[in-house]
Amino acid sequence: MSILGDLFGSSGSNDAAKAATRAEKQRQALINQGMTGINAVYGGGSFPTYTQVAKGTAFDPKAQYYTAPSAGQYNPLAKQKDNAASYKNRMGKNRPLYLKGQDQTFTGFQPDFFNQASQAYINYALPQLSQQYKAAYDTSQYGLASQGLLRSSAADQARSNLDLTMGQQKLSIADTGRQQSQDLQKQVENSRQQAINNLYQTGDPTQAIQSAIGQASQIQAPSFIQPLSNAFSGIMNQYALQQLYPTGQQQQPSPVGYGYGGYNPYYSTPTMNFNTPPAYY
Amino acid sequence: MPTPMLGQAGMSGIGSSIGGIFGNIETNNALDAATRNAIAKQRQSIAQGYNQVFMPSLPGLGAEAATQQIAQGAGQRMQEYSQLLEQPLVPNVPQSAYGAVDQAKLGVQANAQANLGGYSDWSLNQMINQIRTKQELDKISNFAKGNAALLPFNLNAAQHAGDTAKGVGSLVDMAAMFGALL
Repeated sequence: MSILGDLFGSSGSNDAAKAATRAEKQRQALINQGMTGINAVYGGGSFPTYTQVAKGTAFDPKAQYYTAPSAGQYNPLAKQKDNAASYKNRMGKNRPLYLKGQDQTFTGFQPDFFNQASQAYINYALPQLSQQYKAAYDTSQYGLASQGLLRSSAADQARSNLDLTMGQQKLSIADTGRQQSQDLQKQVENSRQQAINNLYQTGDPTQAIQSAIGQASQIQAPSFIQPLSNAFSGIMNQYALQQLYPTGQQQQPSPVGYGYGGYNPYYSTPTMNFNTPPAYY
Repeated sequence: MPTPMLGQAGMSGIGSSIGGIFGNIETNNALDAATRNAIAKQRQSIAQGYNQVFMPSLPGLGAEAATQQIAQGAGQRMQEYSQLLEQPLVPNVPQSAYGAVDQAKLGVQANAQANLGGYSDWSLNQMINQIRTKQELDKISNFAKGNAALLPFNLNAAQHAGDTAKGVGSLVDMAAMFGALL
């Protein structure tokens, strides 16, 4: 028995090694195929798709058939003139044949996409800032006019303060836009990493690519954006206090305790909120 | 003069020994080849990772690249700031007497803010480049792991590479034994 084992046993272990090698090559081919797809979805590009010819389908002489000797590796059927015979032979032996579909093409997440996201935020926030500036400007003008200070250095100073705040808010809006664009870039990278992990775990490029496409479409959907908070509330609260305390009687704001709405033994300061204009304006 | 039986027994021993020796040589050669092949594949993976991924990624990590990327980010930000600052938002509002001074103040602030923001842009670039490098190295490492997992199968197959020679030797041995008995 040992002799027979010696003579014939080696072919069994050889087959197992060959099968394991083939399986590993297939796995690597599938991962490469999946990577091509994922890179196309996220970074732009295209990748070919193939569909298996259903059993019983008649031979089409104009079609180019493909074989897949290993997973993810599609080769055209050897020779055109042998196509019909090869087709019949392979279909008869249940060896799959494939037809090439249209290449799937993706634009991917290019720098333009992220720049547009930043610009979208700027376009959204600037009109609000403009509106807030106008409201703050009008309020200060009414206040100055009521004191007869419309053409004074105080009026110039008030406008200068508003303009500086406006400029600073514009810079801040640009930064927020850029931050949103960077957050989006991080989101894209995370999503790409998830798709790759998915590919390694399943070894199934089709599933990994489908999942990547799904995740990528979620990223592209616009996210909810908070409305711009009142950019001029700080400066207008200061201005309102100046209105309430005539020159020479202005209370010195103390860092802690009282002043600016805190406890004051001499005066109870009303809380000014320019998000909702006070009734006396 | 040796008897025929002794001669056949000797034949049996020689057959078995030659079969065994050739079988062992073949097995040893196959084991060596399998091991050498596995080591070569691992070395190839290491070289691929080092030469094609790691080394090309190094220049992007240095201070020179950082300075360049920070300046680039700052430049882009400054351009964006300038466009926004020049954009009039509210019509019919006269400029204050301090307009020019305010513009200068804002210009200085914008410049400083852009330079500061440049670091954030560089940091993001670094993060993305490192993720990409890691992804490429992960793939090489994953394939190397898969190739290494083949070694036991290949060693097992190699261990049986001399089986045929050994089997033939044993057959000769057996035939000689039968001959001696007859």
